[in-house]
Amino acid sequence: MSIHFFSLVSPPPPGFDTGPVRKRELLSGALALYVLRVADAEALLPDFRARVQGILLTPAAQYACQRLGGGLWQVELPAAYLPQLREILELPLRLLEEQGQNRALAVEQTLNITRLRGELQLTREDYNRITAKLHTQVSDLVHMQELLRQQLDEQLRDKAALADSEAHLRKLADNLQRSNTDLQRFAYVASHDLQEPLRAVAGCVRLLQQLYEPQLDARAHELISHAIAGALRMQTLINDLLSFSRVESRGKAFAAIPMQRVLDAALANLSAARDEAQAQISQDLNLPTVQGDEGQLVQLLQNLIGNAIKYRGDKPPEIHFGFRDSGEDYEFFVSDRGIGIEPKYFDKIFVIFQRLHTREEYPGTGVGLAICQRVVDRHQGRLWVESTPGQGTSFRFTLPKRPEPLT
Amino acid sequence: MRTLSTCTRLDDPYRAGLALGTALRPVAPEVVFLFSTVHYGQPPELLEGLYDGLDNESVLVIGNSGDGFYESGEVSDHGVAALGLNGEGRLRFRLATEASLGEDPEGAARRAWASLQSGGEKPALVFLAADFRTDATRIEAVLHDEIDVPVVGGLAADDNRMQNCLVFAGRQMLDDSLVMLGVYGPLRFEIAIGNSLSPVGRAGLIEAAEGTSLNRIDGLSAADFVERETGKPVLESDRGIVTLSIANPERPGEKRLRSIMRHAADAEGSISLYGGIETGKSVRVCRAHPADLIAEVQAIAERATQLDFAPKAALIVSCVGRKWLLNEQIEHEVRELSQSLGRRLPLAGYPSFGEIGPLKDEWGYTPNLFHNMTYVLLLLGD
Repeated sequence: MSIHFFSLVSPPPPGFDTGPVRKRELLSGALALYVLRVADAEALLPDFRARVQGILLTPAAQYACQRLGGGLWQVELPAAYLPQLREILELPLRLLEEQGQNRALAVEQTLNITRLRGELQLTREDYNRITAKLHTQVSDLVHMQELLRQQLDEQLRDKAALADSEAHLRKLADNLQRSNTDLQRFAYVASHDLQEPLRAVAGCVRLLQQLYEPQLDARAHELISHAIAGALRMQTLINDLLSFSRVESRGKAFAAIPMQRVLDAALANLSAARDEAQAQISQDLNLPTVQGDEGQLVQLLQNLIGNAIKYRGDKPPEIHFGFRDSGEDYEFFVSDRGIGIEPKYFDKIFVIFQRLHTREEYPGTGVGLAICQRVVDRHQGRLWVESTPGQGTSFRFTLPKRPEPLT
Repeated sequence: MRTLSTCTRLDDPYRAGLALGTALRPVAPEVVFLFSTVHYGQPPELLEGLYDGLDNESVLVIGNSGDGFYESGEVSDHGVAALGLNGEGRLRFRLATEASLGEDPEGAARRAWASLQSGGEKPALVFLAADFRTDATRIEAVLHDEIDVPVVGGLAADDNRMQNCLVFAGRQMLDDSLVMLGVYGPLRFEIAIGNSLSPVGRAGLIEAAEGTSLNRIDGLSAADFVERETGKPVLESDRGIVTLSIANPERPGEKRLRSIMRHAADAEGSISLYGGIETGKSVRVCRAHPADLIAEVQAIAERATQLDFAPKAALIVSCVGRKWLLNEQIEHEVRELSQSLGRRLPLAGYPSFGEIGPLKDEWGYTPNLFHNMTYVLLLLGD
């Protein structure tokens, strides 16, 4: 920047230029301008007082000085000062130029403050936004905390109730276990101990029949025959009951058992019944090996296939033994084309001593399927029946590939 | 090539322009790149003063307002910087100005480009200055697909209020306009782009977007998506700090950034961006860290010392978001270059509302791209 000395009055003061005063001279650095009237200078530039930095010099009889704008002063002075005017004004003009630069800094600071205000406003808006969000989140958290407290109270109450229920159930289970054990012991002892007196009764009745045959009339013979038959039925019942109780009491540890061997043994035990009924029995190939108690599994198949032979209807029985691999289990089935079972009896047939037919129609004690159920239970499997009356029946049972260890 | 840069913080526009013109006169510039703050508004006395100071009516002036300015020795929130360039007879320059930018950004860019080629010669490089109140993605479409020479520049800015801006073309102080300067002849130049922000979180698929408004990502509102990835709500002060990175699966090196604009999140959870974004693109949220930005500028400055020509001038267009984030450290955007080169390189630039420039990969420069949160450095030499 620079300082300029111009005069619109001729002749100019010493050191003052008279050339055209352009905008570039008016607005660069600081200016000393000698004019007759202030209005002559103001005509050079709009906003002259606001934008020009410098000193307007006007002739006057007395010295006077006044400020016209931020960086513009008017000095009235007698002609006597004109020869030294340039030297006199040089320092004030330099100061005015410097003041102009300071004013630019002040403007910059004002702009900075305006900018900072804007950024502060921005930060305040962020603060309000995040505070509002936090309030919402805190409110949600308080609400959730209350819910959690309620849930915790409920859970504690439920847990106490559950503990009571568990204790009650444990007591019931213990009682049940004791009852089962007692019942098994009773059944075994009763059936085992009943054998001998029953044999004695039957033997005595037979002896009575032999010794007193001549004296006995037809009615006495009939009564003795009924007594012997009843004793035999009771013996059968006792044997079956003994077998039922032995499923738990005499069960053996599980071992790997080929089901083909089980099937072969069961069929061998049923050979007489098969021949008598002219039964056709088929099977799936490649029967798997399972974990189980071989004797009980033989009894299971023997009972199921024996039932299929027994409840065959008018035609010779057609029976099939098969299986499928269902992943964790093997599912086996014994299917026949016999008389079938009404669906309403599907559950009843597995209850001990429950029978759907009279002894005259089909002999039996009603223990066979109960034994089957118990054997499958002990092997941790499931036994069920699918049947359509008149068309046939499938008994299905599962055996897990990896049963839990027996307790 | 003769170059010189200067700056002033004088508040009077004429005085400021005059100071610049007077300072540049020694290199008799043929072109002046001019970047000022927005308060030097109409009438265009800044340019009047500049031309009076240059005392040469044939000088081409191109530039715009920014959120402050960069110059070799100074970074400031207020004032004006200028870079004068004289091609010493080996370079030629042509200016093209187009209005109605907001209404027809593609047409404005297309017509300006056609004007630069009207002499039958294609420029070696184009510098672009444009009003920010437009969808820059639509300008980018023309720059990317139709202009096969590098275009460097950006969108004008104001003092971060997003209200007003100035675009300079000769003695004119314009708005709603786009200006291109074509440089013809054996110009040596290097363009470096710094946009390596760190993506955080998961990528999201844009399901709804319109222009610069981003509505839904990954089944969430855009604001909720950003909150999911950053763990906090979208804030005003996230401008430049939270940025979305748009990947181009067909050209992995071609990554673009879109910064969140001020007054962004609305009631619907939409977010306004500094540039357009397309449905179907994949985006990730980026978090910028000042140290990362500075390290990248340092790396770019270091590479500037290994060029096969000696840079004689530089132009910097750098996102206002970077300025917002770097705060007091914003001087690094300029200082690193001088420190690496070991001399005061004539330089001018500005913080912008959107940056333009191609990336450089193993095949050369990519097509021209519009960026956010990016540092664009143009080095010129001969």
